[in-house]
Amino acid sequence: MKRLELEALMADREAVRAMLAAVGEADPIGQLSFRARLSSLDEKIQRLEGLHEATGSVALMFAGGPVFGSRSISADFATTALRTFQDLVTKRIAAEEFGRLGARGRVPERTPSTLAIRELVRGSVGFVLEENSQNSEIADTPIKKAIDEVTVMISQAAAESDEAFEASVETLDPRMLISLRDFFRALDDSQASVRIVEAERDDSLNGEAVRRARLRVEATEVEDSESDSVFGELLGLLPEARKFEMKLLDSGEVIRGTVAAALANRWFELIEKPDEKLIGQLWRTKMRIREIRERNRPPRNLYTLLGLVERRK
Amino acid sequence: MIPAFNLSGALPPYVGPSPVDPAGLSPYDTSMKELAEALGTSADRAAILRGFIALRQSLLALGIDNGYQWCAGSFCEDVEALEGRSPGDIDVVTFFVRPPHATDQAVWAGFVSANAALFDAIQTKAAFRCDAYFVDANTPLPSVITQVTYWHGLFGHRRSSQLWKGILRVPLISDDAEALKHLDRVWP
Repeated sequence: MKRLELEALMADREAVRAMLAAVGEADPIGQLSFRARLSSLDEKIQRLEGLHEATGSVALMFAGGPVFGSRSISADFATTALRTFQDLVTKRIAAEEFGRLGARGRVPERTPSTLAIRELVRGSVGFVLEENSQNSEIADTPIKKAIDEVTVMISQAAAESDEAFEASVETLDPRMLISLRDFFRALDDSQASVRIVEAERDDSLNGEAVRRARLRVEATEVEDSESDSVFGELLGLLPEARKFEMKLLDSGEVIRGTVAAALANRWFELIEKPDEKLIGQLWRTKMRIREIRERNRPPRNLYTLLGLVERRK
Repeated sequence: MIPAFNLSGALPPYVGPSPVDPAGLSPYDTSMKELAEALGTSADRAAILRGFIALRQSLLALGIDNGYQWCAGSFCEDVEALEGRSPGDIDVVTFFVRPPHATDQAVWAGFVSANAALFDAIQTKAAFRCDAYFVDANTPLPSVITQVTYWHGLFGHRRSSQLWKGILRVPLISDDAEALKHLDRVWP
């Protein structure tokens, strides 16, 4: 766990610098010892900073209700917290590999997503989880990417601003929302706080943040549907930014949203054709509609334009 | 006495039912022969121990014979099982009283300078397979306590997990010859 190791090395280096400053000229052997120690630490830190960890690992450290000093942690809580975190990673990888997950049923798995407990962290009680594979590639493994994305998702859910969570919900698989709910419910029910450390991030969620995340996630429902009969006038499409605007034929409402990657790429071919008029035309489109329902707020729809099926007169 | 490694692959911080009994607390007093028998379990480890014995002999030759050494680091853990590798060296902290002929500050400074190869961890690592550090008991007590606290904090815990682990203590004068005989017999 590179980040934790670096943290410890840097703390050690500060201690050694202080020792060197305190050890006077009257102790030449002490000076030699601490200078050598400092040199060793500098070398270890430099080597570790240059190391790219391509395999997934994450430290989950808990404090609060389920933790007893730094001695022990409720077995029941620990089991639930680790299981729900594993669920999030598994579903993230599956969503990445298979697209939108079914509403229920077994989560498909191509890439193994299992994390193993490598080490226990004392101080505050915690676990270092690591994937079992040995990765000699330079590229990050799917598990490493999934851990990073899950950590971002957890932080966004607990963020002080609503905007961060709203942005996260727009792309969150509905089954991941369920696991996120389970994760925060487990923490909040036990009055736990958590610090999550992984390669790119080090986030601490206190009890208040955990409660905030739980309430937000519990108050949010997401339902995805697809239709290939959404009719409207295409007002504009930005292929680089992958954004569109359309005036719906039936209601006159102007909707805006994202453009699927495949359509964005095809757009460049379409606009190359001479006399091809696309904007300002009436289209039958294929659209994914995500309905987000949040307590005490009107439901909102997010649109993803998947395809232009046929031009309409 | 060298206790067996615990489930974490480290020397336990104490043996017995609780850490209250000083007789069961780390650092554990041992001898060079016992160290060789308990932890000289491979050719690599035997080579490190031979280096350690050579360092000790060099210190004795300089008159540094009053004190003891802590042994720690991956040599004192089941690093073969934990990380699938042999230890690279042995971590040693030597607590000593200056030889009678070198107690004068100016003489001591010259003595250290002249024998820096034995007191500089970078050089002892290369020459003796020992990451060797020293605490001079002739320096003022507050400085000694601070240094002992640092080294115990470092070697008494695993860095990232903060696991509490045990250390071994060997007097500067011990049964090194017996230890060498054991190593020569088992790992010629």
